[in-house]
Amino acid sequence: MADDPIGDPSVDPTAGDSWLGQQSAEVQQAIRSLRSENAKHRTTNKVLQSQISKLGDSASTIRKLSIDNHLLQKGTVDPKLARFYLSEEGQLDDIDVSAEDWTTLLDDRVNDLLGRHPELKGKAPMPTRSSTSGSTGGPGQPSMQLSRADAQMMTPEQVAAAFQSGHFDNLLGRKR
Amino acid sequence: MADELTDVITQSDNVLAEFEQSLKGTGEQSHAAFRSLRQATMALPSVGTAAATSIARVKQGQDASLPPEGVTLEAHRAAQIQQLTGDAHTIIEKLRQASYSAADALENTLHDAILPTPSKESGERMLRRDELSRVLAGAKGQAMIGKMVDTIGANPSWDAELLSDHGRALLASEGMSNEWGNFKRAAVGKLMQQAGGTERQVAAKSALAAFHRSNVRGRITAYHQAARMRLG
Repeated sequence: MADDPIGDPSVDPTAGDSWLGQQSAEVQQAIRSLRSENAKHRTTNKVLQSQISKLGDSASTIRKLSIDNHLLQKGTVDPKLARFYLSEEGQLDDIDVSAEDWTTLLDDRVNDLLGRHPELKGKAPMPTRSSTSGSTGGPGQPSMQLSRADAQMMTPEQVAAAFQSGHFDNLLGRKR
Repeated sequence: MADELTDVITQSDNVLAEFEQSLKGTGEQSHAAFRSLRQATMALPSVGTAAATSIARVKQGQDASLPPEGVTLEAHRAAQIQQLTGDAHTIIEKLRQASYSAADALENTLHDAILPTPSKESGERMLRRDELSRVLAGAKGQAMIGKMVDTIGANPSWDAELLSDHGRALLASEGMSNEWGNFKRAAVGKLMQQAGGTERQVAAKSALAAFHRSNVRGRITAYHQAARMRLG
């Protein structure tokens, strides 16, 4: 073992070239070749490790982009807001974008989210008042008060909405 | 009496609030239907209270309105009270109708959410329809409806086709278009008994069970009665 310093753990082959200088030319060449090969492997290893870590990032990036892209294509909801709400509720955690029906699952969840948070829907443009409507207003204007005859002509749903908006306040002597 | 009414309303409010939690995952339409239901039911007691307050004000002479010439103050007040009562009854009746209509819409939406969705691929759908035609071969009239109902639950793809326009067309071909609603209800009843399904279907089954457990229509009756009793 003492004759074989490379195999001897007490001898550090990288401790300097003094030991190497004492060796024969063939040994020196062999060791330099091994060191060079080792260095190449170390470099390759570093590159591969870097690529592997990037690959991990890519998978999550692809997942995020797939979800964002789908939300954007849906067009019914602000993708950023939808992503925020769904993330908060943990509803994106189990979405696997490689699964066949992931878009259906996401659509169902977005649809449900819109049901619970209607404010996430894009707001429709405000209707413009026609020049002939004058100041009499319409059911959308809270100042307009409706009569019993109006209520009788309206659908139950319209009456519920009108009551909510205060259009029957005068009729019922209601003060707000 | 007022306290009892308040208790009934509070209890119904709590039950409906709890029921709303069960709607999570059932889709936008069911939430919208529930909001319509709440809008109408919450308004019901308010109408009764508002009208009763106004009537009390008239009785106490606090409304500041004067009788027309030749009409006594008592007659004027009686007419005002009659007018207010009639107006309130009209609004209450409309809100009652809106509440029941919203409850029907909510139940129908939950039924629809339970139904499986047909495949998006036309080739796949053709294949399933071909299979179904073999399954239903020879059945006519009422026997066909019976066979269609029996087939529900055997294969989700067949269910989806039977509950789509294809199933509707099958019934129409036998002159039984008006049986579509009954068939759909029977199918939902069978699907309710089956475990599993998509996330939305599972949520809808749970919500539909909660809908019946909460006795939503009974709650509407309670709100309606409360509105009428508050009006007096």
